[in-house]
Amino acid sequence: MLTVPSVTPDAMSELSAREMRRAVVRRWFFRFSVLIGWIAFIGVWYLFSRVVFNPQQLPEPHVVAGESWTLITERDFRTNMQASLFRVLAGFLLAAVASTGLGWLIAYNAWWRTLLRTIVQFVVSTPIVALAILTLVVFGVSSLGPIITTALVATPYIMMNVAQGLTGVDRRLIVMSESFGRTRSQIISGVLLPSSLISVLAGARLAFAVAWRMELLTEIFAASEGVGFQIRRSFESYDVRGMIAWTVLFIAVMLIFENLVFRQIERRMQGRTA
Amino acid sequence: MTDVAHSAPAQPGPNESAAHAPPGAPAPPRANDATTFASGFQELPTLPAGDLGPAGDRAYSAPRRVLRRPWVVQLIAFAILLAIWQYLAVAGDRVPSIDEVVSFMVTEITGGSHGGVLVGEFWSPLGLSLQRYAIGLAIGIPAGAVLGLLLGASNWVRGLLNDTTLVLLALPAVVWAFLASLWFGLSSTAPIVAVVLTAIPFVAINLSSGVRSIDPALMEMSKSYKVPRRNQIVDLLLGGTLPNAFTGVRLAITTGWNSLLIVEWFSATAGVGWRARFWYDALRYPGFVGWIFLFVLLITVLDRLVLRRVERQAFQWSQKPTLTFAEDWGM
Repeated sequence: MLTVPSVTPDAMSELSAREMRRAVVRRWFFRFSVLIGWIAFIGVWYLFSRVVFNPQQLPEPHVVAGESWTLITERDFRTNMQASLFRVLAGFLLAAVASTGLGWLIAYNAWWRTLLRTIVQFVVSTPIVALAILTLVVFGVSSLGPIITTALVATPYIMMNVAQGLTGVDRRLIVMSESFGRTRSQIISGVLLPSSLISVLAGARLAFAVAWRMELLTEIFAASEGVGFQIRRSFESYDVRGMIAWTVLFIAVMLIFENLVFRQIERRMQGRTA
Repeated sequence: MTDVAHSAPAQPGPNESAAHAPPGAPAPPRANDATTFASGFQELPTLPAGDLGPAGDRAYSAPRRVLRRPWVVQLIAFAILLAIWQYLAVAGDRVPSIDEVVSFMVTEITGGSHGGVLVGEFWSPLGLSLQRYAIGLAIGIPAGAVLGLLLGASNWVRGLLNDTTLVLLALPAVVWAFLASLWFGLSSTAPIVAVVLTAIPFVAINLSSGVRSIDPALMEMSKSYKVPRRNQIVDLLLGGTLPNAFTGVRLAITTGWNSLLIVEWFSATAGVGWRARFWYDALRYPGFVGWIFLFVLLITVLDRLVLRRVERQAFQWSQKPTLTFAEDWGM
């Protein structure tokens, strides 16, 4: 979220009353401008759907909101969202498992590092739409294709951060643990794992953002159910209302996942390592 | 191959970074890959963890040394990718093999006959797509830059427009592509609008974070020392924001290419995406895969050989040390 200038208790004594008042005014001014911004956003949307286009080309915000609500209450919504969510999570987990091994390899071995670097740079530069279309050719319309492609795209990001986490471990802690006679498995679970987890989670979050975009796009080309498929179906039947409503719902679910789930895990991990 | 990798710790203490550093030159900080987990925790790799050196290690025998040359390893990597493709071609019934694709694309480029009335077409779809792409970027990047400067410079504008920009950024390119093609139909407008709409938020968000990362103390100082306005702009603003600006532009260029293809695939009557779709609908998979491959090749070459290098230069200028794996690998 946005960072706003705030007044901490320590700084309070330093600031004169006038400066404090000014800071409070500035903060309210900022909040006010955010509110105006949202009103303007919705206003411009109305303007576009009434004046520039017609409501059939771009439905008004309240129509989209109504359509979203109708979708949520229908059974269709649950099956499609479940299918998409399952694929994102399955791909993501597959990527996490692969990344653990590959991250370990590239952290410790220069030969594998050079090899994987070349492959990763190729995969990362490939436009995701090309991957989505190639998925359609290789796997046809199936559930497996989106999962594999999602995993392929997410793996580099987690892998990098696993290696990052392993190289960022404080050696003094390890030396100390060894001189206090800790066993190898104790060092792994007590030092290596916790101190690399923060970095791994940061990578996992980025990988998740990449994964759901990839999954959505793959579903548009090569799936017979799921949110991406519904968006495509709406597009092909000129149903802009349904298209925007499905998109909004999917992004909402993914952002909730990204912000709530990952932030919660991060907070817990930080609590444990602190 | 794996043998080479795993045999490393068995060698009596081969220190790679010392072995192939040129005499007299300061040895670059390089990870000691000769250690694996088994040889002790003390020798964990440090950052920046470099790749294999330019020459093989003297501690290895001659054939192994060849296998450890960086370009040989890169060659192996590409061979693995091609082998996967060839495997898929043999195993799957829809995947065309490499030679089918190559011969099809040769016919396409030379304008030969594909059988029947179908004649190869190459330069006209490619030229049209590149034209649309260039126009879209020429509108989208400056527009994003203006928005980004405003977002970074003024709190009022940031309050007003930051959330809107984030909403635009969160929308996947495919949704923009669909909306643009529903609004503007089969003309050239739809692809151009899609490129513009995907480019703007990437440039704006990155540039605004660049402007906001400029040290306010430096601004104060340049004001109190009465540094000329031109120098303030060039040294402070440009020097501070250039790396972020380049990252934004690079992302805009790569995602813009992405959305161009989506629009052309679903609603166009010409262009690279349309041509790929045409061969897909005609069940001529070699042509379809060939065009997709060409599409990937164009952006990969542009991205790797031009954009990332320029970006790296910009980062070096601003003295930002590349420290993380991801930055070092250009991700």
